Amino acid sequence: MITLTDVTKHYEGATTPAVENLSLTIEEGTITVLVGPSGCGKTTTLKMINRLIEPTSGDITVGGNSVIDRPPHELRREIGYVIQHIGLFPHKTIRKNIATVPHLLGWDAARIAERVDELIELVDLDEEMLDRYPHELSGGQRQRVGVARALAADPPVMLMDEPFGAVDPIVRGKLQDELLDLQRRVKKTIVLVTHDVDEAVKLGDKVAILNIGGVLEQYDSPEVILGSPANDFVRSFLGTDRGLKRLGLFPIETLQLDTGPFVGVGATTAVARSVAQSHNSEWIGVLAEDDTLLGWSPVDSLAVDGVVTEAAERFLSWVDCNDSLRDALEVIISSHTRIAAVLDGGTFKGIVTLDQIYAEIMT
Amino acid sequence: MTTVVAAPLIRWDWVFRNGDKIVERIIEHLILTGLAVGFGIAIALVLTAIILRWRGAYGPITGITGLMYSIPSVALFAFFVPITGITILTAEIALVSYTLLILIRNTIAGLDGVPNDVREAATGMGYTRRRLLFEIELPLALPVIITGIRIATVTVIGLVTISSLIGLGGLGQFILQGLTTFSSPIGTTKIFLGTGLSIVLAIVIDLGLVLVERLVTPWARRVAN
Repeated sequence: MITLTDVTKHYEGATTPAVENLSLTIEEGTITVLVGPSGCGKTTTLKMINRLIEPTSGDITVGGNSVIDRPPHELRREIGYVIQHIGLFPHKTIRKNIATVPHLLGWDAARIAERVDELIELVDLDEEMLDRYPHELSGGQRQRVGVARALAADPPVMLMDEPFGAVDPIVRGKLQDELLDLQRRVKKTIVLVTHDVDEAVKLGDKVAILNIGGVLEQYDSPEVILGSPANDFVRSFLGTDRGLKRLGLFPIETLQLDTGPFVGVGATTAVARSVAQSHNSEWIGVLAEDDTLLGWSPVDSLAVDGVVTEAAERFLSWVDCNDSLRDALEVIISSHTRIAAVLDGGTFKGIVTLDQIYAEIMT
Repeated sequence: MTTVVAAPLIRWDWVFRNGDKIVERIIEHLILTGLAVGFGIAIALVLTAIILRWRGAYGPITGITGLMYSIPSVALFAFFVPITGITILTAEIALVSYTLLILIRNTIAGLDGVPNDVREAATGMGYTRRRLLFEIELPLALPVIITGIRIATVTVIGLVTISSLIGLGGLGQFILQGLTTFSSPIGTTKIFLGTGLSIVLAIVIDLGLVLVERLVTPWARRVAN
């Protein structure tokens, strides 16, 4: 657990403090995101935890001990640190880069080698990367090395300063997913700074929204912050698509799924017509015998008297039950059938309709 | 005045007969250069350490060494001979003073060129100031520092010839003798020999230092493909 109590940072020569009387409790084993516009003191706050910046007043504790009482370099070896440009050492191989903190702590060679092997597996890096130099790796790979390096001595706390700010959006999304996956396994107390609201709500168990001068405007789970912003600042900072962002937090599997107007292949057209009618639908969905998705046909095009064949229109997109309601909404608005078919590893589970999503927004 | 046009520019027979003397002069030249660069590096290290500790010292130190760098070498010899006599010390004071500006400026430039994110990451992971300097900053500054040593060495090899004016000077002795006996058949031979060998020496040592640089900076060798 990390606590900040009445922490103030007043830079010399500045007219107003960068952070003023900030108090914050960061729960153990969670990802806490500090987010806010530039000048809100989020990076200053982060760097006061490992004393790269010394607070002017107030106290900070990590694991119950005040950080002020300790030699900074000893404190820092117990706190993982990842920065935007990663700062890998260009003159050291990836192996040596990862082993930085164990090396500082004076571990023996065998223990370091064993730990490095564990870490590259943890962050999914190839073993052959170990003897390369940082400039021989891609941006995404360097990022993974940065995370491995921060985790090397198994610190309980990890500080991340805009860790994905320097990679392209596709790689960023992938690295965010990897961080969440990693966190499920390592359960660190992570404090992450970003200016990106989407990143904050995606990664944070708790999100702290800071205003200029380090004023804490709201500190809560992303669901609560998006659902009921504390004030106008938070509302405008979250943006007009805050409803959509909130949908992104709920997986489809939390919904009671409707079965929808679907029949198995080989059903009679009479049955298909009545199923469609009971769902008030102008189309009928067709499933294969193993409950995989075959496609859909307009009710008008069904033979007067016959069976439903495989000759149906294909669904162009669908969602998995792990996807979010926001993903479902995107499928709904881009499909002819105006529903999102939900699959669980290929097997049809049901459908999501616009009404269901709307009901979810209203709650 | 009689003509000397008939004499060849280089009398190779003289060169071969005086092999021992030539080797001796080369060794002298190398010793004078080595001492100057060695002491230069030692003094530059101390001055650089002072600058790293008190950044304000950078201006005065480069100012003074810059002034020394701008004094013509002959004038510097003339200035020190009355004080330190015609000794190797006089020559070395002048030679060392020419290396300082180059060595200090390159070392500081090399250290300043270490990327900030590297420094921040290292500090954030628990490097002490001292270990940061020796394990991260100095190794990364090495290419620029070695470039400074190369420039200083090549400069000194050229200047050593001038110290022959006070009776030292390795290969410069040949040049001086050649100039004073210009009309004798071996005068031009000596001038060419002294000049040519000091150029060759400079090139060989420069290439040697390039090799050293490559050996101590293996990370810079493998350029991203």
